[in-house]
Amino acid sequence: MNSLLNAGSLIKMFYLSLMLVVMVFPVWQPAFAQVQYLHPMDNKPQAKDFELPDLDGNKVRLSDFRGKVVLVNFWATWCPPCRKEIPSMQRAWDILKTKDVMLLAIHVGGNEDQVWTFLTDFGVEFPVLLDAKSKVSRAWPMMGLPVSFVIDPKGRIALQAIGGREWDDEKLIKQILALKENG
Amino acid sequence: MKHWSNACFPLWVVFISLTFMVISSTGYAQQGPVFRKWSGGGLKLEIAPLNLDQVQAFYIGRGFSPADAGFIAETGCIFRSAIGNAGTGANDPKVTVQLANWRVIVDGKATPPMTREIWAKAWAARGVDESQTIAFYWSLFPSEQLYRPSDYNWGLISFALSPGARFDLELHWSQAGEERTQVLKNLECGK
Repeated sequence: MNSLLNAGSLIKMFYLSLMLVVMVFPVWQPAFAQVQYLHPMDNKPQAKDFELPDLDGNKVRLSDFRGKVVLVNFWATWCPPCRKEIPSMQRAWDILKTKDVMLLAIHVGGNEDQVWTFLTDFGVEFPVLLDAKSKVSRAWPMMGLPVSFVIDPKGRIALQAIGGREWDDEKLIKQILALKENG
Repeated sequence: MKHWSNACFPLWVVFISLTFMVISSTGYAQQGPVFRKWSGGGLKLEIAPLNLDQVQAFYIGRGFSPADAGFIAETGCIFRSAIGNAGTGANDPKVTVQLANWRVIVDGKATPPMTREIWAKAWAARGVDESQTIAFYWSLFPSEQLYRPSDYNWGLISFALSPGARFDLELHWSQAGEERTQVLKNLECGK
């Protein structure tokens, strides 16, 4: 009898879960990421150099990567679209690092502990820098989070994306890699 | 009776789910004060109020004292928002949003939203630490933003209204340099 009741409860649980998925999914559907582009920057301005600490305290300077294509992403742990794009950014990093392209993800604002926890949870392996005082993010041509810039080998901002992207999209990867040849 | 009830359970679930899906797809659920989704003139917008507990929890998590987080919740009427360019073609027109041009309308009186610049003055007056003001700055929707196709921003938008206040929101933006406007009626601050 008990097992029958348990089976009944399990069936109810299954259907309730199904109902929750049906009800919640439309609310959480990403409405802004159906089609995506990296946009060429007008006049390709020179990227402002910076020196920021990584999570181990090592100083990282943008100009150290001159001659390479660098994807610079500004994000924060509490920003929903930033969180959403991190897994695809890790997948993109798995591809880009084999093609000699650098990725620097700059966390805007403080609380190193929260950043550490977040990166561990998401299995992030690409370099993350801390812009605790927001000096770099205020100096770069950006207004909100997330925002990403692709720097060409000459140190110019060649491409820009306002808002999150699915970074492992073949089309975006091709756009980034094309800068190695045509930057 | 119990067997009958159990047998009908899946049917009830399907019925409730289908009802919800129909309500969602017709937009009826999005006309109320809770959630608003709108698209037109190259602009895409989603906006929903946060209740006071959500606002306080968010800002305490960003390092604000309970008193300052409570101040934001009680005076700031915080909405979460996602705003972007509705264009899907690479050459679709650019869209520019200037938040300071928006108007909050209550009883015929129009006021602008509480932008980053207005809040910065409030934080200076309250002597809030720099690390909190930085977090606050980036959590708010940008005062001005240019969107190319597929670009969008997430951010919180603040209005100088009390918890539960109802208002109309007049949106202003430009699409390829042409000024556009739209009114979202009967929004309600969280409480």
